Amino acid sequence: MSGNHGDILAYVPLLVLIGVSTAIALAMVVGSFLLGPKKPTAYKATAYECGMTPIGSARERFPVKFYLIAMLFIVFDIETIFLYPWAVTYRAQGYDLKIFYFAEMLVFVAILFVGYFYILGRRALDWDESERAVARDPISPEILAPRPPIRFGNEKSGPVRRLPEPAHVPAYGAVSQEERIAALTSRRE
Amino acid sequence: MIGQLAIAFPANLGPIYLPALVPYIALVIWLGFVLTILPGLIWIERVVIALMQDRSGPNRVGPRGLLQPTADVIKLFFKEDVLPENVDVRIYYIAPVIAVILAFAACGTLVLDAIPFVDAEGRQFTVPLTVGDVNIGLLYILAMASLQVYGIVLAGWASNNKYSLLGGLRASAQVISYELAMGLALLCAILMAGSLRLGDIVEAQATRLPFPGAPEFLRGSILAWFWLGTGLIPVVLYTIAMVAETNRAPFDLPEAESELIAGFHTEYSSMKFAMFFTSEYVAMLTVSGLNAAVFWGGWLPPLNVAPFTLIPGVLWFIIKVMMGIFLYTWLRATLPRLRYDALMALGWKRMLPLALVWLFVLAGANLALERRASSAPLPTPEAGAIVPRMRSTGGPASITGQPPASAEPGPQTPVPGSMEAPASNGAP
Amino acid sequence: MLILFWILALTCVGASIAMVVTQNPVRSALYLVITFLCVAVFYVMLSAQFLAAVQIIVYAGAIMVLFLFVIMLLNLGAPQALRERGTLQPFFAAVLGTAFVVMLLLSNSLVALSKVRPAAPPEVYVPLGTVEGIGKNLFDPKQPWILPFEITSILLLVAIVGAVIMAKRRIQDHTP
Repeated sequence: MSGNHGDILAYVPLLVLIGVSTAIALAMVVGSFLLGPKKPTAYKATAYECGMTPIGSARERFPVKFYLIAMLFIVFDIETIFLYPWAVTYRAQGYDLKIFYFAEMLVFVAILFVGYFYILGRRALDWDESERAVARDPISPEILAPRPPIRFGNEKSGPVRRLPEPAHVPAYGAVSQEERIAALTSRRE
Repeated sequence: MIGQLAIAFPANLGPIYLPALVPYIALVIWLGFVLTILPGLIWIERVVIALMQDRSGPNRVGPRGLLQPTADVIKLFFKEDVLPENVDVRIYYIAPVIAVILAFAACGTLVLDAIPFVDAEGRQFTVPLTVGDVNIGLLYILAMASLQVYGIVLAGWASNNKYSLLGGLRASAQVISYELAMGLALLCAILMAGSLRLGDIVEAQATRLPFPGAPEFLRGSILAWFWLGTGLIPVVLYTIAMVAETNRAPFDLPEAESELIAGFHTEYSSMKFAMFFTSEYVAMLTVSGLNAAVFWGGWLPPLNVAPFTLIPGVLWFIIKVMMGIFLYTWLRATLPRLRYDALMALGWKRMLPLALVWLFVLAGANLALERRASSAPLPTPEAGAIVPRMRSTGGPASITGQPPASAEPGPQTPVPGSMEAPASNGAP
Repeated sequence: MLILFWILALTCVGASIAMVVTQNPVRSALYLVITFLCVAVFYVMLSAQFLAAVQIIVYAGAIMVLFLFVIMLLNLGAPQALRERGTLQPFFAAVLGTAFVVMLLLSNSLVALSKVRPAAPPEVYVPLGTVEGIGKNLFDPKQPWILPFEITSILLLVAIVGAVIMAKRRIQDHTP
C-alpha cells in the first residue's frame, strides 16, 4: 500500500503547480480589469472587420473538412495511445517475447494502415478540392523543384544580374522591371 | 545542480526529509525562470530578428532596448479592456485564462536536473529535480498540450468575429494534426528509453554509448543522446511538430496577419491579448524543454570531461532550452508561411507515416541487435550497454518484468556508479 | 485525500448537472470537459495513472474537440430554438436517473449489510495502473487480451471508413 501512496503523492506538487498557474492567470485578468480605463464607445465595441461595418453573423457554419480532421485525429490518437505502453515495455522483454510484441503491434498498425491508405485513396486529406489542387499533390516534387529566382532589383548583394530572357512568359505574368515601369508610365500618360 | 560539485546532499536534515521538498524547489526554479525570462524572450526575439534583417530593433528604452518588454507589459496592464459587442462574455474571459493555466501547468513534469542525495545509512540516490516525478511524465505534458486547443478554439468562437473564428478553427485543426506526429516522434525515444519519466529518459542517454565499442569517455556524451540515437529522423519530425504545435512561423497560419488580421485573438485587447502571447511563449519554452530532455540529453553536459561537468546541470538544461528558442526565432526570420493545404499535407501525408514507419524500423533494429547478442556465446558488454536499466523509484523493480537477457548484471537499486557518472564526475 | 475527493465529487456532479441544464451548447460542452477532468483526477486517486492521461488526451483533448467542432459546424443558433417541447424525454430521463441513483445506494448498503467483504488488497503491490503495468498485461501472450487488442484495430478501421464516407458524401452532394 505504501508504494501505492508514494505514486499518488507525487501528483500533489503538480496540483500545487496548477493552482499557482491559475493564480497567475487570474491575476493577469483581474489586474488589467482593475488598472485599465473603461470608456466604451459604440465604434470601439463593433467587431473588427478592417474598418468596415460587420456583415452578417460571425458564427458561420464552416467546412465539413474540419470535422473530418477531428474525427480522423481521434482514431489515430487512440492508436498512438496504444503505442505508449508498448514502447515502454518493449525494450525490457527477452528476445522471444520481443518478437511476439513486435508482430502483435505490426498487425495492429498494419490494419490501421489499410484505413490510412483508404483515406489517401478517397482524397479525404486533400484540403483544396478544386481541379487544380486535386490534379497534383500540394508538396509534390514538381512544386518543390527549384525555380529560377525572381529578382526585383532591390537586392542588397551586389549589382543585379540580368537573367536570360525566358523562352516563354512565366505563368504569373512577371515581366522585367523596365517593361513594367514603361507600361505603367505609358498608361498614366 | 550544485550537487555535481559536492558529493551528495544529506537526505535527512533534522526532521526534514529533503527529497520531499525537491518538487517545490523545482517549481520555484522553473516558474522563476519562466517569469523572468518571458520579457527577455520577447526582447531576444526582436533583437535577433532585427539583426537577421539588418536593422537595429528596439533601442530606446534602457540599454540596447532591454527595458522595452517591461515597458510593454506595464503599458498592456494600463490599456483599456475593450469588451466587443455580441461576445459570449463568460467564454470570452475564460479562454485566455485557460490558455495561461495550461501553458504554465504543462511544464510540470520537465526534469531540470538530478540531485544526488545520501541517506543516513550512506546509500546514495538521485532525485530528479522536477515538479511531478510521475509515472506518466511525458503523457502529462502531451495531455496539457492537447487541452491547449480549448483556449484557442473558444477564443475564436466567443469573439464574434469572422477572422477569429477562422483563425481558431485553423489553429485547432493544425494543433491536433501535428500532435500525432509529435507523439509518434517522441515514441521513438520512449522505445529506446523504456520509460515515460523524463528523468529516466535522460538517464538512459547518460548511460548510453554512441556506438558499440566506443571509448568510455563518450558514454553519455552528445553523440550518445537520442537525437542521433534514434536516427535523426524523430528529432527532425519532433522539431517541425513542436513549431507547428505552438503556432509559430512558418506554421503561424492561425494568426496570418495578411489574411486573418491576428487570428483567434483579433478581438482581445490589453492584458487578455498579452495572455495569449504569454501562453504562446511559455508553450515554446515547454516544448523546447521536452526537446532538450528527450533528444538532447536534458541536464547532461555535451562531453563528460572537466570544463563541461563543472557547469551545473540546470544551466545545461536552460542553455538547451534557449537554443530551442533561438531556433524558433531563426525559423521565423528565415521561412515564409506555408499554405494551409500544404500544412495539412505535411502533417498527415508525410510526417505521420514516416514517424510510424520509423518507430518500427527502430523496434526491428533493436530486435536484430538482440538476436546478435543472444546468439553470441557471451553477452557482450556493448550489447549490454545499449539496454538501459530501469530505475526503481516508486514501486518495486519487478514492474518491468524479468531483466533483459543481455543486460549487464548491474545492481537494481538506484546506486549504480556508472549511472551517476556525469553527476559525480567532479567528486574526488 | 478525502477532502480532495469530496471537492472533486461535488465539482463533478455539479458540472454534470450544469451540462444538462445549460441552454448554450458550447457552454454545455465545456461543463462536460470539466466532468472529464474531474474523472481523470479520480483515476489518479485510484492509482490508474495511465488511464487518467488517456482520459484527458482522448476524451477531453480529442473527442470533446470533435463535439465542439460539430456544435460549431451545425451552428445551432439561438438556444431557444433548441428547446424541445412535447417530448417525454425529460420525464424518462428523470425516472431512469433516479432509478440509477437508488440502485447505487441500494447496492452499496447491501454490501455494507451483507457478510461478503470485498477481497483484501494483495500483499504485493501490483502497479496495474502505470504504463508498465498496462503494457505488460495488454501485450503479454499469457494474457487473453491479444484478440481484443487486434479487434480494436479493426474497430478503428471501421471508424475511419465511416467518417470518410460520411464526410465525403456531403461534399459531393454540395458540389454537383
